[in-house]
Amino acid sequence: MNKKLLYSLLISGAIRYFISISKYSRSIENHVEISTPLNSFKRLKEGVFLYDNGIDPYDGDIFHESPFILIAANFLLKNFGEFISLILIIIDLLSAVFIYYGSKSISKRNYERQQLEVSTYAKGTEEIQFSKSDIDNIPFICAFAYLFNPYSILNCVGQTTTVWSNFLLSVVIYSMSKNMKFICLLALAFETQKNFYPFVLIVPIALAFSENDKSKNLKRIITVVTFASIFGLLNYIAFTYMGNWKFLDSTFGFIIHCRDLTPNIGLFWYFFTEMFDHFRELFLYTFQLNTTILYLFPLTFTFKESPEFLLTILLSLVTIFSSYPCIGAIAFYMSLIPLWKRCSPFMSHNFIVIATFIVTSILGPTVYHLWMYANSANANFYFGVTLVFCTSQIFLLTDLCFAYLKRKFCLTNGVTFDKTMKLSLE
Amino acid sequence: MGILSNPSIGAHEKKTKYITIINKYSNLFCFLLYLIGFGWFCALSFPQFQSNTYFSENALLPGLVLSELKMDSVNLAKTYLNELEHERTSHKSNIPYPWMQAKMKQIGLKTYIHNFTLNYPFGGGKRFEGKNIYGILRGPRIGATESIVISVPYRPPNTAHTSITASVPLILAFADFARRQKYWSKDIIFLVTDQEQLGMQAFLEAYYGEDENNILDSGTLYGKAGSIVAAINMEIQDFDVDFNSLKIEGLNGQLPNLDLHNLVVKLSHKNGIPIGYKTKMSEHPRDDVIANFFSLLSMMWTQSSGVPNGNHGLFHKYGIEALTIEAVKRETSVKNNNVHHKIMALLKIIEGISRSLNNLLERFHQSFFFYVIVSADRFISIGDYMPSVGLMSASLLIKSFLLWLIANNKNEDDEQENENKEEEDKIVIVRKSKTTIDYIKIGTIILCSHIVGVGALLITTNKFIHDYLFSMNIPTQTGIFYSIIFIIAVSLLMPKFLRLNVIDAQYLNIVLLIELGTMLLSVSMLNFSLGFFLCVFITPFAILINIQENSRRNLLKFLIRSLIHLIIHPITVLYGIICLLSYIAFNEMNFNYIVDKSFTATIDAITFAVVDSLIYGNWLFDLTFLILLPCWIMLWILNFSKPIEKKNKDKSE
Repeated sequence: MNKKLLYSLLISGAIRYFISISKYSRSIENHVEISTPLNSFKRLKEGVFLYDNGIDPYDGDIFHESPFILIAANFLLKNFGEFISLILIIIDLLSAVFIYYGSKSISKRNYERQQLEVSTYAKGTEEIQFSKSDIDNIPFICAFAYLFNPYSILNCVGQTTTVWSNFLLSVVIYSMSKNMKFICLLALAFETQKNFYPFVLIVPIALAFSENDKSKNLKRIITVVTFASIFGLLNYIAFTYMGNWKFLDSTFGFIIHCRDLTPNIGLFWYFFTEMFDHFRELFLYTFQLNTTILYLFPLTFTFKESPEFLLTILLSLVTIFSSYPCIGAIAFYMSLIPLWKRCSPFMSHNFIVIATFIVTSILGPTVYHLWMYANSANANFYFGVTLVFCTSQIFLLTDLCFAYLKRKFCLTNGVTFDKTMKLSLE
Repeated sequence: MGILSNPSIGAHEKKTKYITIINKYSNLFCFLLYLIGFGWFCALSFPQFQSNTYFSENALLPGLVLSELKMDSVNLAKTYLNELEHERTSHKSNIPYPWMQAKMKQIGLKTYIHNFTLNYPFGGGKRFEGKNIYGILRGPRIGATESIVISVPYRPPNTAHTSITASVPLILAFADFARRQKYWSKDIIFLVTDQEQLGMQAFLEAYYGEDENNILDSGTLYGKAGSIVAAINMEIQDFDVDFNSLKIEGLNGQLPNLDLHNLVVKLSHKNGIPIGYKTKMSEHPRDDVIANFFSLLSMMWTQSSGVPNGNHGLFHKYGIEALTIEAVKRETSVKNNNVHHKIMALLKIIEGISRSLNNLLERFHQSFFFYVIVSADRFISIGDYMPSVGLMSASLLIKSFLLWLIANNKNEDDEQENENKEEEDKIVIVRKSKTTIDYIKIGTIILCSHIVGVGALLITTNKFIHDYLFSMNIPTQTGIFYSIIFIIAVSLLMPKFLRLNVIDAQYLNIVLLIELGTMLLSVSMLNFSLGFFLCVFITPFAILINIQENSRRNLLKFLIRSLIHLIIHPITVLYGIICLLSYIAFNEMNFNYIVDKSFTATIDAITFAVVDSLIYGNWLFDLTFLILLPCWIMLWILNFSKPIEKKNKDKSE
């Protein structure tokens, strides 16, 4: 293993460990930016306790994890109760390792793809082409971005189950890049069962798996059908364990209907607190369509030659627009952005986006404190800040899309143009 | 689509056009923003920009109930005062508990004594003990779900503060009246606290079951009422009242709901006792802009330190609306026959407040929580004052953005000179960047300066270090002084080890400006006054410091800049403020004497700040060491940044 990576793992592991044993870990765990109803460790413990006492945790409104997490947490909390934070740290570090190797083979594949087309590229575009050294550089940057991102550190210290779902996603990326079909689909099925939204990732995965095939469409359909059947099977296994289908409503129903309006960094809660009840369904489905399939097809047709890029974009989209977003999931998609390092000369909002991230990350908890504890500010302050936060994420995303397209254009048309020429993609 | 991301490829062309303009005018523009922000604040002292106070919460119904107080309550208050004066001759340094307990029980309150202990963080585990005494009047109309607190700090005869002996008799007389009424739907807690704010803090911690603070052992309460909705703290200097003064500034600059403030003002007026803000009897005329301005500043000055100016300030932390009514004694020695009337008025004020609070159906949530009081009936709300701080801190963020634009384009311009002349009429979108930025070094500097800040905080607040100092026979004050000298030395020496060249320094400056801007924004959300003063002070320095000038080696300029840096060091500033304050307070004293005294006062102030931070949770001290000091260190390092040697570069080409 790479020495630099090893040191980074050790250092960031130590940071996570020391914060988790400090007195701040409990207040970090309680922050709404970190723990949502869907991933909070407190609710997990409650669910396990209920389950242990023979009460179906899905009867109430506390527990919304998938049954597999319930069973695993039951086992872990009983046998390794004191080591939970250590186990989570190890899982988080493993995710970074998977991101490292996943992005390594993605970079390699990008480089190989480029080698096939390099003869068609214009002169003077070396600066925006993938170079050989990128195969070593980019993976490290990706892993580094995950390991030292304050968001992922806080997420890990907060002991949320998002640590686990980040791990599953990193496995999805790793196995997709290595063409390990079954593992990829299995991990995605588990992740879909936990968070529901990631099912959209089946599109880039199906595209990736059919890349070198002759009968592409058939292959794609097979992938989707396999995924659906694995997913169905998982749910059936869960049914046999639990003895009833209540968990479906308690997990997917809970996510889709956005029943818990606890403030979070997303866009749902404020809107649906204000909503008249008889319009709720209409707007609910509009919001959910916006999250899942509204952008799915246009983006797929635009970026179909690079499934990995499509995956980055789709993952960011579902993270931003999901009903219970948390900063752990944001940290994960952020760590994939360095994969497209060569697009960075075309990204024009870097500074604004980063500055907004910093300002809102500080201001958000401040106004939340004023609202909840000091009893002086109110919901509008907090929602204002989270709205800006989401906007900056969307800026980042659109900037990345445009940068990718501009880079593609410049690769074939060169980077020098006459001043007299008016160039526009509008 | 242009808003989200400009899709045209030639966007760079436009940018370079403006870059020279930006480079030239960035400082001016940002400074202009700062001036507009400051001007905005000054404009707030015009009455046109102020609002009259009004009641938002209808349930309060201020002053609508018919008072049922009779003369016997007034006589009772006078009797209690005489008895208490007698008790005070035999209880020189503590509360006459037996008397007070007996009276409360006699009135019919459930009476309890609350013990608390302070394990003083300095001086090897010294312990101080105190006892609060409180009585609960159960509301007859409803179960104990909500309550009101009427509190009084008790000051024994040997206290250094102003005597407020008349407070206890007054609230006891009111308790006697209130117990006979049957309309209370909230419990009333009559609380007499010991040891000033410490007793109040202990009571609140015990009431809400907080046990994390191991410096103040808050003990147990044997009787509790419902959750506290509001609290009134009384400081009655004498029954012969001249006027009432309101104190609202709480811990960390929190304020009570404006409705509560208005309620007290209205009731005080109604009962014929004039109300003044900040112990000023006479209200200045509405159009007196200068007086308005100073009245604004005087409130903000108290608020900015984050130290509550009365026992009410500690309630705010728990989301309880509270304020202090200080009844100021008449100065003239002429005996007033009207004392009975004054007692009646005071009792009626308490009655009116309690009955209005009794009417509340929900907690205070309407009206304003963020405001600045100009006079008892005028205020400025958050929407009006925030733009001034917003403009000032935005000027920092904008400056950092402009610096970033300049830094990025400068690199490109330098390279463009080396390109072939043929390409002059071409636009090159992406160039190979030749200058590399030493991100790791910049990161190290940011990290190191913050580590110094964290270290400083640990050194000054760590119990083990204080215990060690105590065992070495070094007094706490001196110990803290030495640790601060040590920190200053470390921060001064930082540039010796970490130096940047001008290009990297530019990027460090960008980070620094973002950090400062973010800090100022969130501080002004939490405590507007502190945020405002910090903005006024920090922003001009942060804007006007231009690193590019460093490239010209000019010793005099460098020395002047270093001197300015030393002057704005947080500790120097603290010292300067204390000097100024003591000069204003004792201007007849010798100047040297003041400078000398201020030095010890500064050390004392730091010690008090440490205590405040540890016991009450005042974050001004933490803010100074965690953010302000590191920012100063970064500025200091920027001051020493090396110019780039251009000669070497030319030779190699």
